[in-house]
Amino acid sequence: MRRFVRQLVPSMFQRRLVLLATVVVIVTIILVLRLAQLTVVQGMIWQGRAESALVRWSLIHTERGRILDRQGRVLAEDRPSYDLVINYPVITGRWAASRAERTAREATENRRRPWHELSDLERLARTEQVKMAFDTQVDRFWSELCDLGRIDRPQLDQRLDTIRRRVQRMVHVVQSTRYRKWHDELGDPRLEAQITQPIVEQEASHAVLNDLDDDARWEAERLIARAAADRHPADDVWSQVKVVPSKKRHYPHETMTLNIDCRTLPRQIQSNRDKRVTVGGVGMHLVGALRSSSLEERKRPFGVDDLKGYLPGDEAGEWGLERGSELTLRGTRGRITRRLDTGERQRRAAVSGGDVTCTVDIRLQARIQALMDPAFGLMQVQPWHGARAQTMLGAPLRGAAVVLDIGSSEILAAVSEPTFTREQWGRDRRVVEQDSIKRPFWNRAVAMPYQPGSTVKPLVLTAAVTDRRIAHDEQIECRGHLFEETPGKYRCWIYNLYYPQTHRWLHAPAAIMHSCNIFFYSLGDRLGAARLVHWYEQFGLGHRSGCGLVEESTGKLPGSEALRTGMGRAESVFMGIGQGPVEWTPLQAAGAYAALARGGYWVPPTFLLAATASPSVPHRDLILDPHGVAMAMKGLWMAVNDSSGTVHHFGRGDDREIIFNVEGVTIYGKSGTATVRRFVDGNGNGRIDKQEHWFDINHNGRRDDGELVPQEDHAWCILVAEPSAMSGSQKPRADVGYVVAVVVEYGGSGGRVAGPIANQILHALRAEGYL
Amino acid sequence: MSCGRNRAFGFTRWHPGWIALASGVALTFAGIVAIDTAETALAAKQKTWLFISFIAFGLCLVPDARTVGRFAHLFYAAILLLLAVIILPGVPDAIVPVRNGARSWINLYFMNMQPSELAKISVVLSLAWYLRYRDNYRSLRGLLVPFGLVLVPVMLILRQPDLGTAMLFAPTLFAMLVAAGAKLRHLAGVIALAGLSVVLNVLIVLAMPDSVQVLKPHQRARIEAMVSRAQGDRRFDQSINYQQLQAMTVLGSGAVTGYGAERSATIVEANQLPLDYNDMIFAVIVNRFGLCGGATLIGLFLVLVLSILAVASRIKDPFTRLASVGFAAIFFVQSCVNIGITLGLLPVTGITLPFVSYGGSSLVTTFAMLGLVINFALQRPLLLGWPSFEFDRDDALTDG
Repeated sequence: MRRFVRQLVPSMFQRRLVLLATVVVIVTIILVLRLAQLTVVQGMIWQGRAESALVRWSLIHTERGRILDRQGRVLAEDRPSYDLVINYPVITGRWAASRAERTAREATENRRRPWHELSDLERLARTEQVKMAFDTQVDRFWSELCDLGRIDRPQLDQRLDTIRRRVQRMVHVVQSTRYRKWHDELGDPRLEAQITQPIVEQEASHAVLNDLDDDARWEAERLIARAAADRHPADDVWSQVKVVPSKKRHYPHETMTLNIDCRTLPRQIQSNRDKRVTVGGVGMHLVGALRSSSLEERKRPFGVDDLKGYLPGDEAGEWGLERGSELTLRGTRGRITRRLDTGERQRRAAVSGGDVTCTVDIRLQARIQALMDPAFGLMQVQPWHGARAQTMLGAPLRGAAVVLDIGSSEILAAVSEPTFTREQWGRDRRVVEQDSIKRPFWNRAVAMPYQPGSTVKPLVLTAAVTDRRIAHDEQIECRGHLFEETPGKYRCWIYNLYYPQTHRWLHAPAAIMHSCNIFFYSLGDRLGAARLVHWYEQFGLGHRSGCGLVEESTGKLPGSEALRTGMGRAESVFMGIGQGPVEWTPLQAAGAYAALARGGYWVPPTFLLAATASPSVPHRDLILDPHGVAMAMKGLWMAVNDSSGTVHHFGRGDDREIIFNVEGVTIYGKSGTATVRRFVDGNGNGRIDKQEHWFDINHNGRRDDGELVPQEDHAWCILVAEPSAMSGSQKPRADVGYVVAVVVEYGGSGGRVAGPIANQILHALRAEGYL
Repeated sequence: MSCGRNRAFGFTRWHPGWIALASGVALTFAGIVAIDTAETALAAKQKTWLFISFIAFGLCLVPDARTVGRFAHLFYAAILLLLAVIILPGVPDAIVPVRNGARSWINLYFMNMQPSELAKISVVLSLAWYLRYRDNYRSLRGLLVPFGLVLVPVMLILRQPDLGTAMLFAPTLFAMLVAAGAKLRHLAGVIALAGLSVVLNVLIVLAMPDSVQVLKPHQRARIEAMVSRAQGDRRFDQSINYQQLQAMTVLGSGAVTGYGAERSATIVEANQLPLDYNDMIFAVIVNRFGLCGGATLIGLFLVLVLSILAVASRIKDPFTRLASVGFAAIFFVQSCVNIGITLGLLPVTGITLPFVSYGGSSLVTTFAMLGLVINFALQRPLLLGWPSFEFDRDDALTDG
């Protein structure tokens, strides 16, 4: 072969050229084959991919739906507005410096010594001379902005500082990323100069004044136009300003002013004149707010086929109805599709988000919120509150109130105190979120479970009667303590306070009226833990009602595992009086009493009117013994209307004061004073083995820093109220009444502390035309 | 006088150099059409560069081949100096601007010059001048000097960094050594060693932990991305593989006959192919003219290279022989690497398609090389006492 080649091509050089040419031909063939593979074999795939890029689309903005109250008042809506934006160099002061240098440089033109011949120090001196004028101009500009935005200079400075900090954070992130990328991809640290190139935000405009009113907008536009008409427009700082359209979420009823009748208040804070009160942050917990959509975005990213998905920068509800009704409120973007090759255009219109009508009456909400403001007097420690008043008089209290329409189970108001305003939230949300003592962010009405104390006694009675654990006419003797052999344990409250006084023999309504512990210890003992848990669940504890707020708590009940492993007799006894391993929220409490008022028909409480709500939890008939319900309601009526009732009055002798003074209203009510103890299953065996006297804020079963040892019990008062067409009856009409549930954290006595608040809520209902 | 006689002799006779020239011009016009498709505004500029390139081409026809050779080493030294200057720290950006992260250009104010382009010419001429009468490169030790001649500019170019240009030199050296009669087993050994180191590096990248990696992170990332794509993994489609994937999309969608002028421009623009007028110009040509156009273009390169090899085979002067082979190798390797990248056969690195891509430096240099080849072809054949690079007798003695 070798010889043949040598004979064929005698020259070695020529043979080597042939060898090289052969390599060239082979490589060329490989390239052509690969080209054929891509264009012919895979051509269709690549064609599809390439032509898909011909379709371009742009988006049409949509609007978020409104939130309305039950009277049609707008609680939240998107409204077009205008922002005033300023170039970032003005905000940092760089604009004044650069204009000054430019002006100084221009001033040296045609001079004997032009700019480039000056030393650095001479340049600096000349620049500084000119800069003073620009600094003065910028200072005057900030004053004009303060006038336009009706803010003071510290507020403006704070906004500018916030913008600077935000941009600097972005600069840090971008430059770090650039550095990593350049270092990793090119490995050349000399490229640092490119890394420190300004980012877009350093050259862009930033909103300093939001939501300008018409006057401010026109004035700003006038000043901008004046600058543009100037001989040297670039030297006027207003040339760096623009008024741009934006879209803002407005909450028109966030602040309301009301007149409150003070003649019906407890004597110590009574007044003969109406009090004019301005309430901020009305319905803040219920309506909610928006936040950046990063979390939601991951759940539902924006796509060509899902125009309702989220794009970076989109907002989504953070809490309240804004979050609970996110899918309804969120609009669908429109899209304009354009083919680059044919120019064909298709337009798909944007669809605004749906309106959500909630069951709340925002005026009633504001009125109750005003009542529960500690400054008003009811939610601070008062002399009539009892022993603590001696040392803590005037200390603010915290709590919640819920008003529920019995007929529809719609929530008319749900107030959580303390609350916060949008201004506070916008200024520094971390202060609101991280205040672990007051916890203003926490919606106590729906998200905070408390031990119910004696307020569960009517429910336990109906359960016991329905389960035939007590005869209709049966009486139980209160001897001060439950068991003969342990007089120091399981005592009645009267035995503790007025030893050796007892309630003696009681029938069921009287037991509720007196709130006798021994009676209900006995019923708890007879029912047992499993049946008690069953009945509590029937009344709405242990699960969410689907009220429309995602932050709703389930309350707390022993789980099936705890029940299976056997709960002791002690737990059953305690659960009979609303202590032990049972907790409910004010919302659940109102729902349970409404079910009782309906004669045993439980309807999930809701914040959404029927038209917009999609019931996720079915209604249920508890099939209660009617006689048991009647006895419970009679006991509740007596508790309020009988002079021996626990919510009839507070004080003694001349200081004695009737709690409820709403005329023309029939009231059935029960107070509760829930001992604040945590019952802990320390070794995880399903049995309670120790009690801790602290409030477990994060419910982890341990006492952490900031979890204080309370000095008082939680004060409850729950009412069923109806207009007095049936005055004197002990049977309410299910279609016209309201349930009012009030809890005051560490307030002490339910009747003395929560009772007067519940009374004022009834007055508020009347003032708003409900009673 | 002798120069004039040579020209008078050469212009009147047929030789394969004319085919190479025709191929080069055809490729350039194909390039202008493709640039017009990708970036219309640049097509007119490229025509201007073509005019300037013809002047460079004409100038390269003037000097006598031996004169060119005599100045080869001086030219080589001057280019080394330029390559060293542009990477020196402290040279202001106004003189050596940073483009795409590389310091490869010198700002001459009326144009930007890329010394590494001139380095292609100088290395080929210098190598050819060095190898023309020697036979010491037929031993392993004798290979050191030719390798050194290539290694120095390659190292300087890598410091810019310009990997694309640097990787042209080694194949060119091998092609020239093969043509010059170096022992194939020596060259095969070196290639095997280089191949082994490539395979080892790839294995280390794919299988070894970070602590034992030799390559830089960006180099590893490119290898990983390429292997991933070959395995159908689309992780890197929007990052490292983006450019190549877009190129393959634009190229593959051209099918057999292409989209035609107007639609092709729309498709190329819509797919936002980076450097569509430059490094990725082949994808634009195939998109517009399809497989037919792409294969024709590759065919033109084949004709160009083979005709230059034919020129080399017909001339007797050892210097011009080797220089022609070197220029053919440069054209071939550069076009293969560029097309290989566009076809997804090689990892992406910045390299232009000779004659076709937009760019003044590249086009002027390319035509200058072609001009030198034609110049060599036009030289009057010399009557030599001993034919060059014929070592059959030596091999026979060695074998015997």
